Amino acid sequence: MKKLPQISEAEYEVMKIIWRYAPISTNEVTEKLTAETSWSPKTIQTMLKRLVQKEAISFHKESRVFVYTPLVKQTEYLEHENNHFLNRFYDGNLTSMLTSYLGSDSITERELEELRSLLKKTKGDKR
Amino acid sequence: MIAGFMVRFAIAVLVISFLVLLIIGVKKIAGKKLSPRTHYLIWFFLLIALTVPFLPGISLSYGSSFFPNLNTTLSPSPRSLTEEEKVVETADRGWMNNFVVSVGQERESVVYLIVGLVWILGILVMGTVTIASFLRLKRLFEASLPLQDAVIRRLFEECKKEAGIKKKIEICSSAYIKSPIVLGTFKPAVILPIQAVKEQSPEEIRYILLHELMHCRYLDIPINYWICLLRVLYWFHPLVWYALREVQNDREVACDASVLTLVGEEQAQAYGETLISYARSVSYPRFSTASAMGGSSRQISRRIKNIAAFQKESIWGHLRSRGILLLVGAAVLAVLPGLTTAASDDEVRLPDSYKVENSLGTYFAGYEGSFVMYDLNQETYTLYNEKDAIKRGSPDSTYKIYSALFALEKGVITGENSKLGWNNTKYPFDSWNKDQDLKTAMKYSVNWYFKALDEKCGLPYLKEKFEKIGYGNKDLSGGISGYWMESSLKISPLEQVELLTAFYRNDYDFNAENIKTVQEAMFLGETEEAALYGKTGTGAVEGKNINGWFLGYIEDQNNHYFFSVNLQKGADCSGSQAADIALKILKGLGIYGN
Repeated sequence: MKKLPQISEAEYEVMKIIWRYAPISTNEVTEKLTAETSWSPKTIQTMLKRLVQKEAISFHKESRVFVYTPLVKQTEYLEHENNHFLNRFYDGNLTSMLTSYLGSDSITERELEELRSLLKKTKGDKR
Repeated sequence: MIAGFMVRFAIAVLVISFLVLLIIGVKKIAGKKLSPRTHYLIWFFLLIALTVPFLPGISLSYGSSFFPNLNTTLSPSPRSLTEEEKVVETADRGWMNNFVVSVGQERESVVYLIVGLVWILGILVMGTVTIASFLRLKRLFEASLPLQDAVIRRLFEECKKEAGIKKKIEICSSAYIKSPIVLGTFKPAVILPIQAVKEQSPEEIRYILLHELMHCRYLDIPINYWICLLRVLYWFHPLVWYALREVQNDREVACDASVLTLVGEEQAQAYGETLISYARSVSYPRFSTASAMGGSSRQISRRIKNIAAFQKESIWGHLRSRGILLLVGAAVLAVLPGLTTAASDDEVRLPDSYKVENSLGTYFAGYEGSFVMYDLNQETYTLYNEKDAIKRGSPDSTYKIYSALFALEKGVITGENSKLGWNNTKYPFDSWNKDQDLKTAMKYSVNWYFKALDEKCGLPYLKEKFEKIGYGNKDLSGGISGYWMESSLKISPLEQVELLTAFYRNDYDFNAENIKTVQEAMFLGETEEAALYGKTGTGAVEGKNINGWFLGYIEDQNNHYFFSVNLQKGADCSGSQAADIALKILKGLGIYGN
């Protein structure tokens, strides 16, 4: 198993953009980040370079611009894309090894609504 | 070895199923009367019970009293004796001869071996998956960085203080996770998803941190690894899987309750909302139609219900919870008798007064065995190798003393008329191939004769009688045709001597005539001063003599001596060798022979 690159909290902002919009060019990354943060384009470029060094992202040249794609997934510890039984079994086993705040499972908007009303209703009953 | 472990393990598995149901039942009945923490703690009895079979040096003697049926179906390998019995020795040398029928063990050991292999194979598969998971977590942990966000760092320190945790706990952030997790057995670390660091409000993060810190405080991480190990070992047991998942669900509920106890009831709603909003952010919308895997949406609704209903536990409630916990603990201990006492079933206690004669070892040249003698006048025991003397083993043919007695009691035979007709089955010993009465049957140790007596008495009757006289482990589950022959019934040399003494004195109030009849059949020879009574026994497995007995007593004018020689290790552990040694010892002690 390959080592996962360590991504800092600041670098995460860059990764978030790349995860969402990849493949994406240097200019587009800079554009999106300068809108959200106070970082200078130079800082952003430095971070991109560092992420390439860490092998978190890769780039290739497309007619004079650099285009970035991620090399690691946003959720390394559970991959929900795969519904195959064995993978589900494996994920299940992995989750059971963890003491996590919340089992990372999908839940529908309706179920959430039910839970909210459950929380309010029972609370009201008690008084 | 494998067979023994597998049988004990099979019994353990049944007891464990029962225990799971018991705990689920108690939890259902007690319901809200139990605090969430107690709901979780109750499971520890199960975790311990699941672990015990794998601890070295602890032998399981799961409840013969609680599970009578279990014993008859599952106890030590019932060996079927058929007419194709392999025979070891044929010569006729009178009572000292070994009329031994070897017991075939092969077929059963193959079955046990296959079952054992399948089980181990499953463990390997499950173990591999678990190790892979573990490595992936390690990789995840290595990819996290110490948290940089100063606000949350400060918040973390405050939460630690609030939770009263002094231990050093790291706080990290990771780009690869969606839910906060705690990792590390000895050096725990809380890992927050960077996403949460950026998007959650400090108040929400505070609740999350407190929840994770509670996990650290209650050692949930190492306990979770313990659970994972049990899941690997019990991969074949659906009830255990179910129970272990429930343990993990109850753990989260208990953890929530601990946080609410800390922050106060009035924050319950805010705490619950954090959980719900978190569930939303963790959820993957594109799979929202797929049914939730592993019922964790059930877990969250259970948690929300508990949070909503949370009330700080009163002192009385707390006491009640602990009381129920204690009761369950007591019940568990009762269900698993001898859980912690090593080898309780196969060893017996030494008598209050006895002397050890190590010098008798010279008579045992080339053999490992024991000698037990009871001096009726002096009321003292003389022992050689007291360790083996209290170890239980199969009685083999020495059981025939009691088989005869019980048959006389039942009236199957009488002292005057004990003849049984030979059914023309050819046995390898000429002395067996003719009609027998009690005397000849005892002398030549004729298996078919005593088998016939046993069958006429019936297993329930025999069981009752063996119980009455407290014969060793009293276990007849090996079946009527061979329970006594390297099978389920076991008795120690010391118990043999105690019992023979009781038999002689007729402590159990049998018909005195019947006692006398058996004694006459046991008569072996006499000198001017004394008479010798006894019975040999030989246990053979796969053609090798592995258990030699000579059990008897000396009657002289002034005193009586009850003795047993039992051979366990050596070239030929047979009844005749045991008798040989016994006679030499008795002569050496000046008790019998000149």
